[in-house]
Amino acid sequence: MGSGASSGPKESGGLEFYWDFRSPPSRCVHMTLKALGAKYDPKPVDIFKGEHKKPDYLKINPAGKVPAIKIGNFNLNESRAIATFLCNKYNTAAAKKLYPRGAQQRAEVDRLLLLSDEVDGAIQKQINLGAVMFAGGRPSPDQMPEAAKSLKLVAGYLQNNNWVAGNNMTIADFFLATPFWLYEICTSEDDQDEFFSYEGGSTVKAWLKRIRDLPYFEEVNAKGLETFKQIYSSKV
Amino acid sequence: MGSGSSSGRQEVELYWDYRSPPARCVHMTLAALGEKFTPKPVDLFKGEHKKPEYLAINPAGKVPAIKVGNFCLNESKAIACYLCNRSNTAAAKKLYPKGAQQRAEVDRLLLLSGDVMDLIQKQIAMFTVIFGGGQPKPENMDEAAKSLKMVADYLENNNWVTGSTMTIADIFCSNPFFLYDSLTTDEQQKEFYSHEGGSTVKAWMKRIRGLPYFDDVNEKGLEAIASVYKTKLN
Repeated sequence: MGSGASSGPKESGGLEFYWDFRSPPSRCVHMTLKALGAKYDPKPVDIFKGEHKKPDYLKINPAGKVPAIKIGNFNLNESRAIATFLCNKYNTAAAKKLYPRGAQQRAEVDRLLLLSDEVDGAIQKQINLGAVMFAGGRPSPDQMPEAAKSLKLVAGYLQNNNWVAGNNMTIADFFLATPFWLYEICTSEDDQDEFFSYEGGSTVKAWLKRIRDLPYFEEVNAKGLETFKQIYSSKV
Repeated sequence: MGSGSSSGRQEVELYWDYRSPPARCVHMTLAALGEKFTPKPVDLFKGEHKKPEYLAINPAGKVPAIKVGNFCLNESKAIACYLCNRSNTAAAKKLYPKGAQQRAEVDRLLLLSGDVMDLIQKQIAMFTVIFGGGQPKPENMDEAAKSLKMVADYLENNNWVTGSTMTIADIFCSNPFFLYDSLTTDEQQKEFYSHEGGSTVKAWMKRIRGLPYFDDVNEKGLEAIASVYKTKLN
């Protein structure tokens, strides 16, 4: 499943990847590692068992969240900062496509990485993932029009392109797609048919398929999404 | 504003409202870079950010935005990084270091600045007060003050959040605290900064306020927001 998969400390160049396979931001970083073909030493952190709050992990990431990485004495948290760091560190052709070096092209990706907050915010108005999973909250199906604003927003960037930043896939595609994967696991097929019928829906669907077709997509995302799906549907 | 832009490079047009916090972060960055720019004021209170001419620049209808030739960019953090990336000056390399690790430190803190602002807003509730008939929530001061420890933990014994050099991370992370100071009373500030991390953050803010361009960029804007905010409270 690709050459970049887990290796021991020696082959990994000392890059340790701390993550939970269920955590959406963790999976964005994991996708980046796969896309880069980067070697790393996998350090799973089970957030359902509270391992992210244990003293050993807090030394790695005092914020007590996943993902995080460690290279020698350098620790880094915040999934987007990690993704851009990994691309900056690797001087490969792949890295330069995933996070372009030219100022304007890079700015396009930076702007899109920031936009992922807005896309997630819109989607969450309907699915309310965190509250449903952990705090006894409910989904808000009447908020679908609000959630669907995310489709028009992202489709605006896709237009005649395969990827949100243009002709090349970049890390922005991973981060912007994430809320839509969550939407799919939290809603019924009928809901999804209705959702994707809003403006921008077919463009976004085609783009999501492009990402789902990546060779490492299943390995990174399938189990995590399935687990969330089971928990979410058991709560509603 | 200095003449650091290299000849032959297109000039930056800055679309901004002097009151808008993210717009002032970009303005600070331009000033720190010594970069000339063409100011294009957009009056938010007159709704100029929603007019078709402006939406052609920034379809998201917010400030700030920049235009360089045909290239338009929004999102203050993306703009600040872009301005540093396109400049080859020594100032730019310090404000947004090129080395992967040093850059990651700044990138992580730029993201943190959003968390800092969110915490501050839990008390001052700037948007709801000015635009939504709401009230500030002084009972949330302890929550808001978590921002102080958050930033102080990065400052430690250093002058700047990433260490010994000022970067754009200092501009973005300090912005919420200057906003806090302009929208609260002296007594509230005394109590706020008495929380853990408060004295470290205060000393760092003093360093930033001492920058030659700080008043130019921020003074009028902070006063103007404070004036509107206080009118709405009464």
